[in-house]
Amino acid sequence: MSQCTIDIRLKRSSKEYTDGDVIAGEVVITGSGSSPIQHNGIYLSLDGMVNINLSTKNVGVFEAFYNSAKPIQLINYSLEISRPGKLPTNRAEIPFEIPLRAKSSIKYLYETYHGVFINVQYLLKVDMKRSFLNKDISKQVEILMITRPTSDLAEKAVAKPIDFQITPDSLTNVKDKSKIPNFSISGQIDSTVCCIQKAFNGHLTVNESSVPIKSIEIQLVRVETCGCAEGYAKDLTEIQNIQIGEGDVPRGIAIPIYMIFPRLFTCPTLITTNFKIEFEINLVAIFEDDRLITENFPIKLTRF
Amino acid sequence: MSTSNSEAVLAKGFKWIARTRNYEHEKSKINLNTVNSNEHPLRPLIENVNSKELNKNSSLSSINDPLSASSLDPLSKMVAEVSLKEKQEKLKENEAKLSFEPWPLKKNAILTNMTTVSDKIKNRLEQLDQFDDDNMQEMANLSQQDFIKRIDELNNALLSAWNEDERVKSLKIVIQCSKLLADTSVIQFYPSKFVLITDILDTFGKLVYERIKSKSTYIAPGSSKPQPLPENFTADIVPASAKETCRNWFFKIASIRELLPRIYVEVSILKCTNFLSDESISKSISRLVSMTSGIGDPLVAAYTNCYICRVGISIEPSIREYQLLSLNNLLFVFRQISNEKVTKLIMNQKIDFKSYIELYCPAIDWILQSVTYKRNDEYLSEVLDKCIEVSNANKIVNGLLINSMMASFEPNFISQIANKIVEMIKDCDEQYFPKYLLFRNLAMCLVFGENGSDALNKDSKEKNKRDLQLLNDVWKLVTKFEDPAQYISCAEIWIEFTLKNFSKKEINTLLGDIIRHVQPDRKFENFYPQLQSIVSKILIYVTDYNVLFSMDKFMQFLTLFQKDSVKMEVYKSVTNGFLKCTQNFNDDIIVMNSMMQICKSMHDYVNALTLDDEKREISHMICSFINKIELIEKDKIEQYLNFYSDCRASFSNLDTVIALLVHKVNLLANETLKIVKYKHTRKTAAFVRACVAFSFITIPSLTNPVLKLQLYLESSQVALLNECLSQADAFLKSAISLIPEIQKQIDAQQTALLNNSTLNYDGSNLAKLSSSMTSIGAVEKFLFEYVSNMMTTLLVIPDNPDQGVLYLLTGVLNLVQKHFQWENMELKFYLLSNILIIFNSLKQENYLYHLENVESNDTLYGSDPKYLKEINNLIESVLDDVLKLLDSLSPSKQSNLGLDLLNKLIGHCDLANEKTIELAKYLWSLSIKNQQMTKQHENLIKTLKFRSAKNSEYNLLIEKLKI
Repeated sequence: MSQCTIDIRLKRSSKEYTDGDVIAGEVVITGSGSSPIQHNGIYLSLDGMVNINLSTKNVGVFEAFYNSAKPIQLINYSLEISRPGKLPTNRAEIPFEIPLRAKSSIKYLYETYHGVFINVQYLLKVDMKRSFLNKDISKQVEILMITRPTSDLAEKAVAKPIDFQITPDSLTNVKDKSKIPNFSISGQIDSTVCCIQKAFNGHLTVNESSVPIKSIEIQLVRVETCGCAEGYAKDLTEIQNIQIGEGDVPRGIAIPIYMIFPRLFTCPTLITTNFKIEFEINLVAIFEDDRLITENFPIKLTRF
Repeated sequence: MSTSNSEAVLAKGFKWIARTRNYEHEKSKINLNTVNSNEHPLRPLIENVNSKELNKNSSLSSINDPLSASSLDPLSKMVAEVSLKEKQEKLKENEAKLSFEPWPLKKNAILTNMTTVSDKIKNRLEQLDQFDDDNMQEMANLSQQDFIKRIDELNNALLSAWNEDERVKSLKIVIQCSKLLADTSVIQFYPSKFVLITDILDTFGKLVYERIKSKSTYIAPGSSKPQPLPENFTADIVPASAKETCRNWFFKIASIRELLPRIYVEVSILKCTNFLSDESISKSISRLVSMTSGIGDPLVAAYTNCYICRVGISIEPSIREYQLLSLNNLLFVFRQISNEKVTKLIMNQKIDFKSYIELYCPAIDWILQSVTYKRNDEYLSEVLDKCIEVSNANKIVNGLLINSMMASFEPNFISQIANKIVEMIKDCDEQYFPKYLLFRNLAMCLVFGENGSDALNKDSKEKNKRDLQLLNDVWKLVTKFEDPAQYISCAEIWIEFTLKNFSKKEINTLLGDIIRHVQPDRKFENFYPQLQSIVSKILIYVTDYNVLFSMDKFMQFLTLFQKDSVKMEVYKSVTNGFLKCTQNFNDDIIVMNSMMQICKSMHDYVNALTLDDEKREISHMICSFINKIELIEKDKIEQYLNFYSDCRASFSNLDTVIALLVHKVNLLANETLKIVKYKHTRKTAAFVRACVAFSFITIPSLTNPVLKLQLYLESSQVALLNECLSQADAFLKSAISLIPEIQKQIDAQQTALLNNSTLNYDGSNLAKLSSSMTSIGAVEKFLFEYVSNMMTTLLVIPDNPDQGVLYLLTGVLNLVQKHFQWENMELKFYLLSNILIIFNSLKQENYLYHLENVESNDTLYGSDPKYLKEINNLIESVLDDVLKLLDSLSPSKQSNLGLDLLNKLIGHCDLANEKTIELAKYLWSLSIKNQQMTKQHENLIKTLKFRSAKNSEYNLLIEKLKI
């Protein structure tokens, strides 16, 4: 009787939903004994939130604490799927359907995003209340919010190739130009407006380099900006780093730039009044002596 | 007791009186009437098993034929048809697989070739060198064995992690593994490392694929139950959950930081792309291939491409685009390998240029093979041009590329462009790739490539011309090789090319060139295996020994083999080849002399230490050779005798051969007799006497006395046939006097065995008796049969006027009675009773058989009373002996032997004579003394009664015996 598990099974195995969809699935309750399961009501709730916490780097500790306590609720919905009583057998499957609709005060359901300072999360939670002798049991699953193609937020990626050329002369932020080895890297990026579902594409060619190259990498960086009354805080953190050149790469051959945008950790570039989520890509070449050069490309991610 | 008894026996005065026999009359009575028959009594009753099968086959092949189809009903016919088709398809598949070298084969080759024995030591040294570098990768300082062990552990770890549902851990292990492939610190080991690690990756890929597949079910149209995916599923029936799992894997892999693991792991699960979409695999492969251009180390890049190609082929052989891309990639990288780069690299690795370059071989071979597999010539030429371009641009990889091209292109194609390749090889830099290897491989391609093009005989003349040009071009270069090892390893293959395409002139020239190269300083001593292989190749292709031996260099070539054991092997193979290939040997003098020389060398090799088996083998070969030389021309018959004399001189150490020669000469004499139609002219008589003389002086040189005896007898018979009476006498005399010798030898042998002393061991003496005759029992048995046999010859031999009556037979008698110490008294008894019978036969007026032109004793003496008396005396003494012998034996033996003698008596003696009847009575009483009536007794009684019914002469006997 006491050993009892509860689980949510979604019909959509991808767990991806858009505004206006109906989340369908079933709650599965499994008991260990042969006796029926007694409970004081089973409740299902859907909760969508934007959590913002400022880093201590930008703001004072107290302030950070204060500001983080101001989450934005996007959706909140709860329903009872079973009245208190007994479940007929030791295994029960209770089907449910929940419409996904933003709260009246909220205009958009932002896409799911797991960042460092900003989190957009949608949780579906089931609670089984039980008599005071037994602990309540619950289970939650995260669903992934995707912008609806018809939404105002849904933008389309544009293919607009951008050529780049990295030479010692093109570098900024250098103290002693004489110490820079002679090199020339040229290449092309398919576009800076990229579809999140497709890979980041391009290619680069090392034309020459007087010092052997150790590695060439592309770095995906998130830029999170939180606005508040006093101004805003902007933080840059790395999401992932992908090596595309290993060792002293051959000269004169096009090395593909190819990176898949990770799910959850990226979302379409989002700019709201309270916060901004933006992305950049750094192209990093590391020489054998561990000196490195970086070329930065701000990019805009789109859903479609 | 026994002595008094025997006296009593003698006192009775038994007589062995011969019955007078009319052989002609008896024969006519015995002979049954014969009738011609059409039926063979042993012919099988059931027939046509084969023809039925034939019918079946024909009905399969021509199903439309209504007549032949009757044997099968339509249903089973269809089944048979289908299975036949399936079989054919399978066969085709297998063929396709065969022509594409499978990876496991390649894998093993890499594992065995690409590791040095001294790996461990080298690694230790490296460890010392790099001792200060503590951060060295954990793996780098492991020896090969340790490494393999470690890889094994990783493999097990992967499996156990997988089985415990720890997918992330499995992925981590796989990533760790593929990271190792970025490390080239022990570069010679890299190819093996590649093989070991990609094995793990393959396992991983299979695990992931199988799991996703097993988890996904689909609902087939028309059914409501979910089913497992079929073998050739399409992406649209894969359930969403499986797709999601699959996508998760790819997302996870896409976020691997390092390039190399990202490529390898994605490739390893590439097959899973099939779950997501039906077409995207080819895109993915192409992308992965292009990603490899980010790999700095050319060796690592080459092997990464190799892995992609390998997996690509295993997933979907029809996707081909990426292969060329891969090749291009590789060729581009090759262009980048500059002198200084390699120099620097190999300085660090402490290996030489060649071994560094060779490390690329397996990868490039594989990629080229994938690219060129089953492509048309046009496509191949394109690839070829690309390779040539690169190889011209970069001398370092030049040789490597040519080698790989030869290894992976269709041999047929290679033989078409052989000229081009020779030109390219000419330009190669010896420093980076050994030229001799290239030439060697080229020859292999040419030899293999020819098979298919045999059909194109139209332009064979032109082709021949081209080939000759090619051979000349190549040989100009090869002949200049300073290292004889390189030279010979080329020659070993090119000889096959020459053998296949050219006539004896070119072969001879090539052989001459080889001799010229290895002759000085006895260099040939180092190359026996290669030289041997050359000989065996020649023997395969040149089956006409007239041609073979007419090449003057061939015999000269054979003289290169100076080490005895090798020489023997080569000579044996030559002789074997000769025996196999030569059906009708028309005694070409060159072939004969050459073969004689070879056989003589083989014979000379035999000595006291030679093993029996080898001796036997050599003897057998020489015998076969002699047998090949058959009597063909009647007017050259004397030459054969000369030839046999030569052989005797040459092969004196081999008993078997000598024995054969005696047989042969005997045959020669008989053939001569046949030719002159059994009437010798003076000339032929002289020749025949020469033959007999040959045998007479040859036989004593044999060491095996048993063989000697047999030959003496045979030769005596031949001599008799040919009217050489005194010679026949001499043969038999020799035989008779030889028999006591055998006894001495056995005694010596026995004592030697008893003393067990190896010191006194006289090999030559012991070896004389053949292995089956080591025991006295066996020898006595043989002698019994032999002497009995000899006596049948003695029947027709006329007495020599210079000697006494029945001189030879008396000799035999003496031998049996006195000179030979019998161990088995029964045999002696039987032999003596046989002698009694022969005496009976000798007393007849007309002997049972005669020889043409030979007057036997019956005509000679004409039943002269003196002669008969002489025989009677002999009979008496023998009978005396026989009875004494019988008396001394145990009762059970007495019973058996008595009965036997009684049988003989009934058969050969005069049953009217009372004293003979008395003897019969005595024998009968002896035989039933044991109160036992055996089958033999019963048979005897039955026979007697049967005969007495027809013939009254048996009545007295029956009466006396009281039966």
